[in-house]
Amino acid sequence: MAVYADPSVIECPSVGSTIVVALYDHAARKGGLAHFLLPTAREGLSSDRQATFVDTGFPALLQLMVQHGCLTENLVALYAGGAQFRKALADDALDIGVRNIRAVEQALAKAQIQVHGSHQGGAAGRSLFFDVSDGTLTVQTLSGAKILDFPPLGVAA
Amino acid sequence: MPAALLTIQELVERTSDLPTIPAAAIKVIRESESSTSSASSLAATLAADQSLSARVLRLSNSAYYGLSRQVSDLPEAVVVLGMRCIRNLTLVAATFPWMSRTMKGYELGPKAMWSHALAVAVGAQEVAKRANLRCLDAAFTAGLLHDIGKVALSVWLENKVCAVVSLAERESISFDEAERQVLGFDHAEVGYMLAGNWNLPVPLAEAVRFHHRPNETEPSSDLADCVHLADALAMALGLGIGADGLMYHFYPESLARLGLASQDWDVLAGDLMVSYEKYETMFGELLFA
Repeated sequence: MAVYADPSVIECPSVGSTIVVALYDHAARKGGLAHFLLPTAREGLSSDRQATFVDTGFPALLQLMVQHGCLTENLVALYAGGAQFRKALADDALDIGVRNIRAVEQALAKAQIQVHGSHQGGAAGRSLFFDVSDGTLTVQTLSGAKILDFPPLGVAA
Repeated sequence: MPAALLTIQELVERTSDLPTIPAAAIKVIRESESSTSSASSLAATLAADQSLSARVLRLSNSAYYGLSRQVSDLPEAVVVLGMRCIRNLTLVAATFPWMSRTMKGYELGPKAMWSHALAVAVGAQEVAKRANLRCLDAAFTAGLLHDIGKVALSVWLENKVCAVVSLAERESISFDEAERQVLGFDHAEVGYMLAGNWNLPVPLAEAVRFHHRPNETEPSSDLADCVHLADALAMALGLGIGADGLMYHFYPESLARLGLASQDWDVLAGDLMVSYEKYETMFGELLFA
């Protein structure tokens, strides 16, 4: 998890059922990126580990962005990931992808952050590229079959 | 199935540069598993492999172990690291030359296959531990080697991977099923043949063969279940996934057969990640240097 101000492209090369959330403040031209592994942290984890769970990591990302001078009301979000296995699982507890998507949607709604777009589910792995200069998020499936470009987050949806 | 291109046997015979394990490494693994082995006997076996000996000494002197003194001889290094760690390091180092290759047939970059194999190795060990099984070393080995078939098959799949992915997506079938339809066999079956050629123990070879279809073993196989679960977790966590992504069936029955419940799933995911990061740091520094 980090907040970036320099114009650079941040890569998340291998996203499975995990989920990447990009937040962008178009006024401050700063972007925050977090890669969550699971929806819920378990007790007794170190603080750096807590950044990898949606329930503890998402509020920490928001706090970090505010510390870097961003305003919560300026933030817009993109997220991608949450891949699932071929056969739908009867037991949600085993479907990390479905639970990660749900947890991120709930966290964004609770924080009242506008969602600019998402690329979620399916069975393909993804690589993500976040351009801090304008908030563009490029999603490429690992099979190379599709490439999606979300429009810059600096432009209102 | 379309007209058969090659049988598995023909494919294995015609593939140059098939994965192998050096004889010296096999001796170290056997010695570490022997009921009569000691630190000095394992050190003597290790000494025959200079490269491995150097790695064992470097690991025992690494910051991870934080010793205040320098470890300079092999028997002491064996005591510091322990038999299991040396066995695992030997296996990982022996398979590293071909595990770390780029595998265009599966769209796997140079480190991706190695990362995935290591993640499934430590994951299978974590699953075995949580299920109170005693086969921790076999679980590590089976996890590390579960995708060896991909190493042999990759070159043959280079021009066909798009067709396999398209078929899997169009028909909503698993990637291994699509491999069988396009090639006549899948990477798990090729891996099983290689495991047989290496004279690996039958339960280990069966775990390689059935890691995507653990319900088909008769009788059920703890090792196949451990590897299936660890493979699913490693894919879900995005550790070394390629063109096949998560295009596989996941069988929760594996959890039940091992006496585990769905509540164990996230705990296992967390344990796998912690264990993977530990091993990746320890071994990656030695091997990628």
